[in-house]
Amino acid sequence: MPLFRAVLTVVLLGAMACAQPASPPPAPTAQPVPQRHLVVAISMEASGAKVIARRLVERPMQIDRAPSRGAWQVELTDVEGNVLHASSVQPVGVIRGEFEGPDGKLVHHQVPDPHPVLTVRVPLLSKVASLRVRDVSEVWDAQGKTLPRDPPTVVELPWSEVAP
Amino acid sequence: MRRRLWLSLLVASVATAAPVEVLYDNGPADQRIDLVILGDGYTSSDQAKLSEDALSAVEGLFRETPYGEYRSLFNVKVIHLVSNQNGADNGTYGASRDTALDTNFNCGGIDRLLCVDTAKATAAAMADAPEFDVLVVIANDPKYGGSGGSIGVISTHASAVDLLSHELSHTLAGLADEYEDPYPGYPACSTTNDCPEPNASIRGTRATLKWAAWLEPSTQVPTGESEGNSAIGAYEGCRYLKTGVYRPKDLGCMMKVLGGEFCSVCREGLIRSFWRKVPVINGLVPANTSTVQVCGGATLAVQTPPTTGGGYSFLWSVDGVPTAQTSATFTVDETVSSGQHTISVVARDATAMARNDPDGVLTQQAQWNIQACTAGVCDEVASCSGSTCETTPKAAGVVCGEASCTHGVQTSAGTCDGAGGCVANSVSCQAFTCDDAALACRTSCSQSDHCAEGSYCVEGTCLTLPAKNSLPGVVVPDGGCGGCSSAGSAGWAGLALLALGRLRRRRK
Repeated sequence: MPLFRAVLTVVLLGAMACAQPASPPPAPTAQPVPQRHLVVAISMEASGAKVIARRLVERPMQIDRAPSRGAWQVELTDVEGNVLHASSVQPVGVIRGEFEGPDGKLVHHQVPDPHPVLTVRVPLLSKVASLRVRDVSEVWDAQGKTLPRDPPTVVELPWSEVAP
Repeated sequence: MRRRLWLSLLVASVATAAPVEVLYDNGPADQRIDLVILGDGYTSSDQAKLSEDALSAVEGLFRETPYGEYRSLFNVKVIHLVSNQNGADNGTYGASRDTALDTNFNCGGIDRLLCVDTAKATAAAMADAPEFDVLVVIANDPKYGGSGGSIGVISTHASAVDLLSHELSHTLAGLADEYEDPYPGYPACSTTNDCPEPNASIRGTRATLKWAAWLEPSTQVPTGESEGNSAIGAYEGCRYLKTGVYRPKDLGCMMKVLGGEFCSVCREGLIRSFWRKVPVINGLVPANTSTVQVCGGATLAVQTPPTTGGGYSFLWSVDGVPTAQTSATFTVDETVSSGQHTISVVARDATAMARNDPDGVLTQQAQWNIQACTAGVCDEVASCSGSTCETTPKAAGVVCGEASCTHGVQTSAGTCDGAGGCVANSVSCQAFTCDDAALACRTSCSQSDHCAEGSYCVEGTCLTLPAKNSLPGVVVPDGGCGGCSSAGSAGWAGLALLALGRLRRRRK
């Protein structure tokens, strides 16, 4: 899947550059606090995104009390594309190292994670058709003015692959 | 609350489950930050060492302010994965080690960068502690190294815990690196929204600086190095740039120097990040908040995590009106009348370490809809149980209120009427004032404040003057009132008597 690889490469490079704050997510449909949820690990390797582990967790899903700084947004959508659930998640794909240099100052390194894995938690809802992760980080022009954009999709998996 | 429990969690989807050790259990996973530590390079005979290493790392983290003050917001578990060999690849024990999570130094060609197979570590955590919020891998190798990202990795080197503090603060609070080591290609801050991190800003004026609440009045903004490194200011150089971006502290902050401590602005950012995930109110008593029967004298209460950051403040309101009760417990006393009410409480982390709360995460509100069963002043609660609330009236004549004397009105002590009502008689003191000491209207006067406004003390009695120029033939001089305000003002008093005498004669 060369297109996917290209998109993933761009996304990972973007994540490596900086995780900027998320735009306010679209208001999801009102729903009760889920008493159990699904945790899913998604491999983000260049060969394609795939679920490598999943687990049903029999306890309430933790709900952030304020908008997260995560630059990626996890969405559950129905067949018509309506967002049934939205939450934030930190981007993955970068390994960071910061060590004391010979002069006592910090030296930092950032390298791509060769095996990036995105872990997401989602409630179990009816009518879910797909799980989508979008990059809702800000972009701005050379003068620093924030530009509007349609957040690109990082990963989209049919729900049947996420929770068979 | 530290517990050392060994749990063998059998997970259906995983063939082999590793033992899980609970280092700290401070509450339900959905109400805490769940830190899960995985050991790598620990053979079966090294598992006790893993417990010690994990405890040492976590205690090192909790020695840092504000992690220590808020340690009760964290749960910590250790997953005891067994490796065939100790160490990590390219570490102290050789280039290639057979370990459970494939930790390896020289990651990306950088000697001290210690990485892990993210997929293996994530899968292991999901199998044995799926509630994790933060994953940390400890590699059983004394060589100095570590890394941050979706998983924090540290070695057992004594200084590696500083790496953990620093990297976790990126992960949890999104704190910026405050050093200037260049990072080509790193995006600049938005001029529209400033830098996203709590401790970095491109706005170098007092009025626009996001941490202005921490500035001393005498601190210059931007702040020169000559002002010393102890004051919070706006020091230029941050976020991999020497110019154009400001940091809160000159030197010594953990986000600039490993081994330092977090500056006030970073501490505040961390505390806000903790409360972003953890509710301030952990429990309600009673738990049922919808139309509960509350008998007089009963209490409502909120439960909060036991932090040592400065305690909590509580504001209780009845039907939106604040009350004087300020503890975690509210007593439904006689000030709450029988009937339906909404009792609400706002709990707030009162720490002095946070001065800004733009998202409102340091506070949380809860409320109960209650059916109060309380007794009025002339009632007694006869029965309050379930949905039953019965009161009986006190006997007639029982005193139910104090006598008072206010604003020229004498009010007798109230007495119950035998039907639940409290009755008191009030009379106006008319031209006299009410005697606060005697709680009765005065009947004579010796000075002007014994008389009501508009009345004057004349020869022991209070006389009320007619309105100015309202009597035929009597002219009240302009400004005359000032000269007649005291009992000894014979001129104005005489004029008043003359006026009254004329009025009587006309009526005859």
